[in-house]
Amino acid sequence: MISATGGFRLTACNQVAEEEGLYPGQLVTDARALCPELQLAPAALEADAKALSSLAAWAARYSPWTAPASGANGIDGIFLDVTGCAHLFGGEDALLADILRRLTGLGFTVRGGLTSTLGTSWALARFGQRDLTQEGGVVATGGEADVLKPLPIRALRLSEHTEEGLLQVGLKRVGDLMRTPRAPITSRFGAEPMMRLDQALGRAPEPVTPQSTEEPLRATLRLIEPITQIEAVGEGVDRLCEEIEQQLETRGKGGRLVRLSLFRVDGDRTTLEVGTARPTRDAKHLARLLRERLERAETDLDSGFGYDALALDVIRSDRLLLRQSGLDTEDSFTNDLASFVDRAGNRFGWGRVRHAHGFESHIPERAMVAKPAHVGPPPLDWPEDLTRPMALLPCAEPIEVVAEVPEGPPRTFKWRRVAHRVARAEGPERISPEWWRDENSRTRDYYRVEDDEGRRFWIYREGLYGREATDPRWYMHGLFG
Amino acid sequence: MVSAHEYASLKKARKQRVLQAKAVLSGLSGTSFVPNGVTPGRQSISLDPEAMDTRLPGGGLIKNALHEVRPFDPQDGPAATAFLLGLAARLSHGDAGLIVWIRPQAVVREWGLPYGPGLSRFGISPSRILFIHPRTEQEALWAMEEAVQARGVALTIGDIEGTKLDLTASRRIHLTAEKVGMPALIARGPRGLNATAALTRWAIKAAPSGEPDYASRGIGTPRWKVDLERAKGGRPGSFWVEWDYETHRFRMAAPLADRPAAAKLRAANENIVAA
Repeated sequence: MISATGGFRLTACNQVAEEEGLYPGQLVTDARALCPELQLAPAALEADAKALSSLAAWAARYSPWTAPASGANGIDGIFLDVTGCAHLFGGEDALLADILRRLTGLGFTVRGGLTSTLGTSWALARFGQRDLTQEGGVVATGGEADVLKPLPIRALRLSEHTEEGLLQVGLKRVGDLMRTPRAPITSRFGAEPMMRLDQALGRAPEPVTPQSTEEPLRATLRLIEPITQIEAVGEGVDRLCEEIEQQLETRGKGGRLVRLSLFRVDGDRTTLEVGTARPTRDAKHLARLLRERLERAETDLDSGFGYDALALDVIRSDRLLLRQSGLDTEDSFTNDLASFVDRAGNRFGWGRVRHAHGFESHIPERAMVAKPAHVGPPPLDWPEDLTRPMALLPCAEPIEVVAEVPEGPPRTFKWRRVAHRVARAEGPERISPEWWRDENSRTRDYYRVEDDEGRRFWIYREGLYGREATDPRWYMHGLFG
Repeated sequence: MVSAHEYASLKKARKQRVLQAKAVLSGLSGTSFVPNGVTPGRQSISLDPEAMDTRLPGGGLIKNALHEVRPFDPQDGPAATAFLLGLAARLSHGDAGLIVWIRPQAVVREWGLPYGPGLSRFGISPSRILFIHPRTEQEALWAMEEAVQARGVALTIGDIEGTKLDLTASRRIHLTAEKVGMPALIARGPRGLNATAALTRWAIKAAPSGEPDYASRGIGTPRWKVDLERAKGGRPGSFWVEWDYETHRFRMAAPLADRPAAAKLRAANENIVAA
């Protein structure tokens, strides 16, 4: 029971009570008059909502799209969108039967309906014939109208006011409403009745908004006086990070991507993001990363009349159960590797802080792939290969070469405007193109050459003379030490 | 009357006796005497017992310090990098932990990106290297300073070419390296000639390779002319050095040693003393 207009009203009744003629929304005094042995308890609406929320989360075993369902009396059920899920449970009938069975097993009194629209299902579950819904109220597509016709107007999830109005006009059943022309209803009662009818019949869309299974991780700071100095923002950031650390710790998680939002007095909002290679909840580490980010953005940030709210959201997080070991070991290092990698990654961009991973390709520039540090170090090593250079130029540079045609080694070459005479050469090492990838690429013949000064290079001729090109080109690709 | 050669060896012997006497005296008086530049607790790594070690304080390359390598000519960049990788291999041998290699964008454009398949020959496992490519040299310096003091980093390499690496910045890096016990290596550019706080400074020039194993026109083991330009507490010297792929160590350039001209060269090596 809950306190409402006119005194205390009932919010829910059990089956026995309903048989006595009691109904939700009835005044308690009337109810007592009908049934003197009535037992009442105060309605704990919040606890109910929370319980239903967790039930909706439980129902995610059937479908990812679940949400608590709201009706005239607040939240009193669950919606599930089982499109495409039914076959996993042996069909729609079996699915509904399973849900009802399990919920009954949990101790609830359940009624359910499975149709093509939320509206019809809602109506069916609450107002449908009892035996139908308890054994499986599945209605095929197209049968919504038939199901709805005999149901009272209340089955359309209308507001109290609209419902009263329709009843007064004499529209007691949904079928009556379906027969009435639309225009007069809309002009008299607004868009609601027709919209609800359309939703129930499938003419208007009504998707289920799934509830997220977790509350987002967020810390906010509201300020009485707006702040403009970066230093003050930094202090706010420190506090936010401490709060986030608590939240992360209770959930056993660590943040990977964190967003700081700065809200200006005039409504403008700026965001800064910071990522880490490993999940972390160390408040000092996050605060330091954010402060460094703020410093770098200082020239671009315009605080206007000041910021009056700061918010920190954890956008991506991963499990982190162990406590982070603090810097309390007695050695002379001031940092550890993870925090250095994070700071470097955030400062330079994760594309500039990387490990070298091997790749299965004999095309030299494809044999090594550089991946950002947070992917982790490569699992395997390269075998020692004396034919490969220590460094590869980011782009092979064209060089002028004097060599015997068709396939002789280079004799002299000119690279970056410096002439070199070849004293020794090894090769050719023929590398054929990966024809399945690139039809236009040509064969390369690689030579390791040493000039008369002792400098060693890796150059190649591209294009087989006569077969692939009439004039093969030479390129400088790598450098040996 | 003594020949120049005998005089030099006499001088050397005398120096040794003086050092021994000083040690004995300090032992008697209870104070500890430390030969110039080497403090107790410093670990030194042997580079090459024949020649280079004798020039270095502590009989080898001090591990917890900053060392600097520069190319002799602008085109000797790769040679200097290769020698530096040899030093890195010796210094990080047996350590677990990451090697952080910082190469700013300008150096990447000039000398390329380090290539995994070609690095294992130096005895460094490429999967333990973290490559960082900042946009500017200033950022590279920041990264170097931060990397040296990170727990879990076994060695830091920086291609910091220009004069941004001045005495103050280099001293900071050196002191940090000393404190945490891990080496820092910097490769300078040809114009980076300003004084720094590095413990040793090497100038590298490319040299024709040694005899190849097989076909007479192939390329043999890589060689360089290595000048130890500065060594705090040591003696500068010049060497012809090659890198052995199998043992992952430096070697004196062996074939030269067999030729008569090379014998003269070796004698010259011994006699290049600062004073």
